[in-house]
Amino acid sequence: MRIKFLSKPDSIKVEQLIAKYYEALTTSEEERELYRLLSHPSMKGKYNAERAMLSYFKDKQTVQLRLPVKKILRHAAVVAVMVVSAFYLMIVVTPDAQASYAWVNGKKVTNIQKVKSFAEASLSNLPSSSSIVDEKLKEVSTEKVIENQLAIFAEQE
Amino acid sequence: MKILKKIMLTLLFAGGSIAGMQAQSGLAIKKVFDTYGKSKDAVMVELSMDVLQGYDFSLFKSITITGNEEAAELARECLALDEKDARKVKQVVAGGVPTSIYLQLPPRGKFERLILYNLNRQPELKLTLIYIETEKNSEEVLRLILKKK
Repeated sequence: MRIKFLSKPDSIKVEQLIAKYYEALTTSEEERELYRLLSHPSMKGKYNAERAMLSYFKDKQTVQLRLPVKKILRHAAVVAVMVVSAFYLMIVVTPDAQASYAWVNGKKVTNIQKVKSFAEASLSNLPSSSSIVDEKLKEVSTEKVIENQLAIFAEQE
Repeated sequence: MKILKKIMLTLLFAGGSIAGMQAQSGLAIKKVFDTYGKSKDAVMVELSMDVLQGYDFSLFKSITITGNEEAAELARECLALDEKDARKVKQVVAGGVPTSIYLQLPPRGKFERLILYNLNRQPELKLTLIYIETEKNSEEVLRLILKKK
């Protein structure tokens, strides 16, 4: 395994780049490289004026790096909250969604045939149309109803 | 703040959608199912679309409670509330008291909704409450249910 150490900037290279910079012949890549070399700790106290002139690379670097990271983190947070909330609502709020089951005297039954038979039993508790009519007719024919109706006339007298 | 707004809106939207998906959402009778569904004197049934394929219903939910006057009272109160929004109400009255009530509710999406209620006092107090969602005409479905027996 090889370990790379940060080497001291080559002072000749630095001098050459500075001279080129003052002659306005440097490319933006060379200026960035010059700023990088001047930012090395070994350059502390030297080339302060040049470092200050090239300091706009420092601002650009931070702006370029910070904004996307923040944006990505924001979007990731929003997406994470949405996903967690959706799961929470699906699992906690609708535990029995799209399922067939029965609760019989406090016990859950999931056997579909049994569940169906309980459903049929509940439907059979409803009166049929014919039984409703029969019941009504029975009610009408009872002596009590007739007596009640006669009682109304008796009151009027 | 913008993120907070986004999250709140998303939660509200998701919550609303899921609540809307739930059966009986916005109906008072849901309270009867929630309160007595798992109690010892009750039989609660839910059949969803996967089981009901080939039937007239898309969702079937029923509860039968025996010997519980309190539950019968709650069911009657809840029915009275749901009756206000009903499209059609049919009642069978015996001795001045409604023993069977059938409510045809306004459709939710493509589903027609029905509430069927029956209360028998003889030989013992037995309350039956049924909620049905169907893609068919609710009048026709109701006729079929009452004719079958």
